[in-house]
Amino acid sequence: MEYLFYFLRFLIWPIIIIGLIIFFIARRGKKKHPSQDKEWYLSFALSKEDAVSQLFLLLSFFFLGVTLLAFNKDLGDPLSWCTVLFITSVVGLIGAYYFKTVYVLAFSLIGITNWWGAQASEWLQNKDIKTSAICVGLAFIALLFYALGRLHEKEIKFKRFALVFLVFGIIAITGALFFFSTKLGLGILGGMTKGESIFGSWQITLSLFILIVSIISVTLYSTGKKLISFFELIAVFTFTTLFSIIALLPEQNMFIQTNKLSGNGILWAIIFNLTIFLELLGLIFSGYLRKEEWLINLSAFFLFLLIIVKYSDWFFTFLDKSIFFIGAGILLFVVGWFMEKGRRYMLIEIKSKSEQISQ
Amino acid sequence: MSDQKLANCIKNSLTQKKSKEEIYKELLNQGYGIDAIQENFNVIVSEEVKEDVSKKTIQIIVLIGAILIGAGIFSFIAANWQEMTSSIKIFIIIIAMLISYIVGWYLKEKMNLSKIGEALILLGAIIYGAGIFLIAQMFHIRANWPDGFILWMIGVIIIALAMESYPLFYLSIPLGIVAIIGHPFGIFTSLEFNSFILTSSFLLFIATIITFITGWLIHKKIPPELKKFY
Repeated sequence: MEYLFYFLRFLIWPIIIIGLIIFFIARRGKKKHPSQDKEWYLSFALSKEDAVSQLFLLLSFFFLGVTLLAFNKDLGDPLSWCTVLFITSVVGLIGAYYFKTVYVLAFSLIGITNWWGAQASEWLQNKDIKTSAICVGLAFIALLFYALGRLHEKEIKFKRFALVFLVFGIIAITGALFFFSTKLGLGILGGMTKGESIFGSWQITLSLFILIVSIISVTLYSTGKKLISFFELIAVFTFTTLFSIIALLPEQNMFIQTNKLSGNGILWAIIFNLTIFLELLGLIFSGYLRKEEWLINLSAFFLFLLIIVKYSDWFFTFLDKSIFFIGAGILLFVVGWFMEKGRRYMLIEIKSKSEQISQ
Repeated sequence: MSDQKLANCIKNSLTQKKSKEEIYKELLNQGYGIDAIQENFNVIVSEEVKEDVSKKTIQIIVLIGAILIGAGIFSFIAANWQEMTSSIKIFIIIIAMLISYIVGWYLKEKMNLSKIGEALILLGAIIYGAGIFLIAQMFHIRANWPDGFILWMIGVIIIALAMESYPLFYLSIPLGIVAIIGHPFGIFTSLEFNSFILTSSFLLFIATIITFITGWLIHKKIPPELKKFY
């Protein structure tokens, strides 16, 4: 039975990815003409020409990366693969903004993030510095993406870019909190806090400093332009503070024995579980305030997953198996009922409000 | 009963890409009743759906036909490959490719049979790709295997641009992806004594330029009513 449980846990991420793909394909089925569709920016492509041109431009930037790698090899490897990745991603970003191609933008952002991760690992090599710095840096990048996403909503032509930034930011932060709220994540976090202070590497310190300054300035600017609500501003700053504390944490022993959490472990487990729960509720609330159906649906989906995973995580070992499954069934019904009622209520409210405005 | 004048009016408005609301408003102003408009709309929409289904069916049938002919030709060549001389082999490949392209172009452009014509052109593009690998194998050409896919992709893109054929563009995209995935393996696993071939680097560079130009040219064809989104 335990193997089945671990097998099911192993399947969660593939299920999430497949679920997201089905979500977008299902949306595609009921696609209208962009000029008549209020949510046109949720489409992968606005027309046949848009889709094909975006795919070719994406191919050309991939080819550019491989060409640079090939010439680099021919010339005796003067550049590291990280530098090639950085150059390609920056060129990709420029191209993405020039042609307004979301596919290139998405891969360029992934490229830049991976470049920073790989570069940070290189900076920490042969130094006994806390590896939590890498994790925190990546979380800062995700927060910056969220703030930039809201900033891009200023202009209609950047609406699709905004969605890319926002989805990347939300998924990365939710994923990180989700992971750290589990025993495995807490164990890894404990391991990452071992070592010297992050100030031992000037590159890491400078990177994190630049990222914090960027997050604060972009968020404040967006708030000034009324693109981010006060509530979102508080959320972004809270997450920035939380991850900054993680970067500066002294060594944490999360477990007393192999599987039993220590005082520190319990404290962090409470913090992460509470934070992710509040984050998802906040996202649903934000979707409701902003009248964004996609945000409500995405957050509700994550909340559903969170409740199911947490239930299995907390109750599987010490509940009788038959009671566990009956409980899981009842929980699913309750969650389903609340989600259907709540989600439908919010969507109806949004529609009636927008109809009132249009009249 | 559907009024012919009303139906024509709706069809014209739909071809002008007017929204349903706009068409309704215009026709109501012209004095037509809402039931009559609704009835004609339903007739036109069901006609369009029928036409679409029929077009798609033809497309699928001829596409399967093109693939089956291609498979048959290849199985015949494969069965008799050893007995053929190199010149006959090249002759067969080139002739098969040219016939497919010419007949496909003729059917598409001159006889207005676009679906069958495009399927034959697609068959020509598949024969062209197979030809690249067969010739490389015949003459033991030393090259990295993804180069074949790049050459195939470039050829398909050129024909696609010339014919404005989207099925060919769709074919060239997976070919490019295979080359992009395949090449880094060659680059990272090549050793000093078996270095990465320089021609591959130049071919990759050409592929970068060609795919970029293609993307840019198609980008320029985006319908004008969508320009406000860019």
